[in-house]
Amino acid sequence: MSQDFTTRLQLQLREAALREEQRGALGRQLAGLRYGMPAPAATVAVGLAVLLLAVLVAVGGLRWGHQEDIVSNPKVIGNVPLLKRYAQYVVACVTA
Amino acid sequence: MQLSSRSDQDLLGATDALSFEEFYLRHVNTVLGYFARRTGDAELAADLASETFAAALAGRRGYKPRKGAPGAWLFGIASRKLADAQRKGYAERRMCRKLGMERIDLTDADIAHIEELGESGLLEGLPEAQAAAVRAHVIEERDYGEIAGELHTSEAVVRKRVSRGLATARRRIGRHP
Repeated sequence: MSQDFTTRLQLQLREAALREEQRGALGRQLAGLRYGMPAPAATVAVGLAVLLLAVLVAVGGLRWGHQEDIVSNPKVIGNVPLLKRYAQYVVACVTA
Repeated sequence: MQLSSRSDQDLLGATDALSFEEFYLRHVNTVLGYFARRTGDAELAADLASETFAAALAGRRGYKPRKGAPGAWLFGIASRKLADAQRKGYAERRMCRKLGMERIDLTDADIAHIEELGESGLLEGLPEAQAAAVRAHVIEERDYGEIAGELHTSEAVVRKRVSRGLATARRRIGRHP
């Protein structure tokens, strides 16, 4: 004879309760945390954490690359007289 | 399974599987009847009852006696599951899945039993004359005249009994399972 709904539900709950019993204390605590947190919220929380990490890595990477590309402006490094007669000076500009 | 004389609080406070099973057996028919009355759908009532007891099993360590009697705690879970189902249009199975519980397909006998639980709960506590009138008119869908003839009374009296019986049942459903 097939079992009725309440008996089948009773058996499923019994098996679930036995599995719970067999879990260690740590497992129960972790499961408790999981049960207390709605699944969509958990997913969103993990997603936000990953997104934040990605943004931090990307910003850090950009800054690092930016420092390497800095080019200093031209500056005067010395006055060299080319023609004494006219006492003219030409400013040599050198890019460092 | 033989039910013991332990209190519901003892059963919920214990961590063994048998204690929870006894707690389940004490309340399963009331919970099923409650869902059957509220939803008018035996399949949905069964899914909601499964999810309610799965949530109760998973959360029993969080039960605190100061929050109320275990029965009230259980019906708190049940009413949240019902509100969720009414909002979404279906019963969630999140806790059942987490506990590795499969969906149970109902037989015709299961459906009849769950509907009966819903109806018996509706009539429970009504004066006998009102319960008979409600059963004949609402459940068996018989005319007032036919019922009046069978009960050797007037149609007006039968109408009044049905009306009062339904009003009492509605008040009860509105405030308590």
